[in-house]
Amino acid sequence: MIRLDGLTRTFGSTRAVDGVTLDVPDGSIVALLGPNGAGKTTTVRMASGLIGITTGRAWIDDVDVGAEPARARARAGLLMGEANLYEGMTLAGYLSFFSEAYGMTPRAALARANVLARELGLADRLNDKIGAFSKGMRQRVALARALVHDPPALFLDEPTSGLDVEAAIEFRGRIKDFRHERRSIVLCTHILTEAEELADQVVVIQRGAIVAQGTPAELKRSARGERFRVVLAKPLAAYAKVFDGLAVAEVESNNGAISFRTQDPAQANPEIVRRLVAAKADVLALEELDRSLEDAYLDIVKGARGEG
Amino acid sequence: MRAEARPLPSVAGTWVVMRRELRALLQDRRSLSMMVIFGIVFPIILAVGATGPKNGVGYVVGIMTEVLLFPYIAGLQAALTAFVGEREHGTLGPLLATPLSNVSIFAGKLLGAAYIPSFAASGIGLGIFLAVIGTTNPGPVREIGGGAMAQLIAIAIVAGFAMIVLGLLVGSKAKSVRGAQGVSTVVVLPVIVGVQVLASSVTHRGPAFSAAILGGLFAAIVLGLVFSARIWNREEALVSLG
Repeated sequence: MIRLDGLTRTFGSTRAVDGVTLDVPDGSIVALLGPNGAGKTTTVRMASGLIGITTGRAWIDDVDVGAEPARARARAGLLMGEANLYEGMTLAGYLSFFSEAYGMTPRAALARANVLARELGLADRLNDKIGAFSKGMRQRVALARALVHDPPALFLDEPTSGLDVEAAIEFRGRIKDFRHERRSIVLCTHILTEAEELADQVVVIQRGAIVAQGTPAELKRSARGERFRVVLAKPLAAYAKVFDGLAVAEVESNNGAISFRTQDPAQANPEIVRRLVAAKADVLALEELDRSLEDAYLDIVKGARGEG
Repeated sequence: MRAEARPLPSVAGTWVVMRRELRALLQDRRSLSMMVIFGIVFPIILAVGATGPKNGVGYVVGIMTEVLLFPYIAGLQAALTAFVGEREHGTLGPLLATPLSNVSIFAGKLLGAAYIPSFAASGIGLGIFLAVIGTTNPGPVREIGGGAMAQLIAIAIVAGFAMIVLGLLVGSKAKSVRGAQGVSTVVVLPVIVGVQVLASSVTHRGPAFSAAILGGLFAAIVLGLVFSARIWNREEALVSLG
């Protein structure tokens, strides 16, 4: 379980993270979304005990991160963007070193390196130098490094960036496995389909503060309402009159298809259909338009910038 | 229920980091060859060059301090690679994510990459130098005497340690190892010249003079360590990583 409560961090006069509060229960994935420089990485660094917290508190299970940062780091696995490996080391040497850094004896560390290499499909490369590994293999090594101490909390910052399609799919499969292993996972990503596929909760951060939070489905139903389309047999010239006085917005007509947005479809949609029938229009269909998380995200960040 | 990983005590953590740095140094051909050149080849060449009968105490003292001090230049380069190089290549990030303390990471790197290899190379070099000159031109060595010899060795070694930590300090803001190496020359040259000048006085000024020099060098090391440790703590290092 990861808990953040009013987490704030300032650098000089700059407030990089401003009152971030969220829970990541065991076995769940929370995706942090936001533009570059929004404060995602700083949030992760504070939550995992890498840097100090200006105000607020964070816990990994029962460990107070601010009070015991080293214990917090011992319970957190981090994968921060690029793999950043020691090129000259063998895989066995590399994983053993990090296992020892997490407090294992050299013998236990070597055993752990063997187990992880087997689990991640690298058992036959244990004695090879990491410098010769492909990008996908290197990312697997970085993941193994994050798992050497079997942490209950995982912080993954853009873990699939730069991977080819096949490697990214495989990597996402592993992240799903972590959920089944009851780990709490914070995933920072710019790939919104990845967030939609993996995350139980999505948190959008803008200028250090949370501007939206919910399940992917909840976020797609943004505050501006859901979008619908009514399809007519032929265009209706006076279509605008049909929507007069109704709680709808963004009404657009295109060749007999009229799209609109409403926050109250249960009230608005039957009335729209009644008015269209009264106007002698042949209604072929009324459908909810699919809204991607990308659309929702853009609405949210533009709204937060005051551009919406 | 998962077994909880426990943060290592600072000494144990330093040991883990130090071993890795030593292994990395042994795998780095450039650093290793510099250590071999300064620790073996260079002392032999200098000792052979100092065998002439007209080469007296002053000449031998000067050469000996170079033999003792030069491996620390290689140590400084290795330290810059271990600190600035890791920051440059991003490999410092995963290390900072471990529960190892700031002290363990800093001390482990400094000892493993720089102090221990330099000290070893310096000792080997001195042994080779004394062995060669002791058989070919033993006069000046006997004339220097055991006490002054010990003072000279102590000054050169402590000056080497000071050179590494001060070089690391001035080079720490550089973005690349190459930049840091360039900046650190402002420390290397004055230390080498300074030790040469001071060493020539040790033989006739006595232990009090040597103690004063050593005191000054120790103070420089302590200050260098304090300020370097501030720069290379987790928070500062991560901010500089971006």
